[in-house]
Amino acid sequence: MLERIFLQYREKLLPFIKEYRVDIHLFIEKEMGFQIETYTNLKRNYSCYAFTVVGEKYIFVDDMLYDEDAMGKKLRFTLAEELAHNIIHQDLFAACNSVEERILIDSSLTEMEKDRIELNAKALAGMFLMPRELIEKIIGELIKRDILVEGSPLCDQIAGSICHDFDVNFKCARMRLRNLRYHHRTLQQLRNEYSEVD
Amino acid sequence: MTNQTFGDYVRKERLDRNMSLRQFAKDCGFQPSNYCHVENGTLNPTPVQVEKIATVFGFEEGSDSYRKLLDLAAKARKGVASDLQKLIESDKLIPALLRTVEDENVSPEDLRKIIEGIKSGRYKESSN
Repeated sequence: MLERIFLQYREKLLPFIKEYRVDIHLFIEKEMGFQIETYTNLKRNYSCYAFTVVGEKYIFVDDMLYDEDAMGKKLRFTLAEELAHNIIHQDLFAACNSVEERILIDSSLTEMEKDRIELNAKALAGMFLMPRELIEKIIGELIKRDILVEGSPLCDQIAGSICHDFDVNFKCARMRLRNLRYHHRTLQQLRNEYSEVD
Repeated sequence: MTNQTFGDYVRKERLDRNMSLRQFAKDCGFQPSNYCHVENGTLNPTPVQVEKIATVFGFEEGSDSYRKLLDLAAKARKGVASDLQKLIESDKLIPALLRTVEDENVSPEDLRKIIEGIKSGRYKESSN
């Protein structure tokens, strides 16, 4: 279902990809027409890094997250996650015009609903930052160069090897790989899959 | 866009060049969160910052784009564009010219004619 939603945006995303890195920032602004604004102490005061005013197409981001270089990867994921919320939870957040209203909406949801919403948004965000075909391409290179080894968890190995190419955190890369079910595969299976492709 | 603000103009030029907001802010020497306020109009950049923006865009001094950037920045801070300010300060005749226009109630039509006359090179010929 999410993959199908992502496919609607895939073509539009292509011009914003340089090798493996998706310029999600520019995609959100230029292609999706959102304006990104910073919000002082958003995280400290409201325990969230970002929120969106859906109708007005504004994404507000915590100013510290926006300014600190060390938070660059986290910022990229946060922006992708807000974009995902906008795409799949537009109806839910349609009436949200402020952070207080967003919190009010969140508080009206059950823990299970909140978890499902967050998981879906994170999964779609991962698709935007790490499109499947690029992951397959880079894994093919890892197999060719014989970089992966038996014995340590495959998802972690791949995530560690590719997260810098995609300019995402290790955690984000691992989540995306797990969503693509790489944790159910062995290295031998991967080698077989890629030798068939060759 | 008739009511284009400085923020609107900079944002459009930035996106036309495929520059993301955060990267552009850094290239121009702004703290990214501060630069957001420049584009949304809640913070007016200093003339030095405007010059830096012009440089990053690659605007040539004196070009239409450069002058538009300076004019919109000046309008935002309700001041005079920095290139005009320099001109006024560097040539005593410029303030005299402006005051004469004011004192003599020269109409916009006549001013346009004077500008066209200057552009046509008429005054260059007579001074030679």
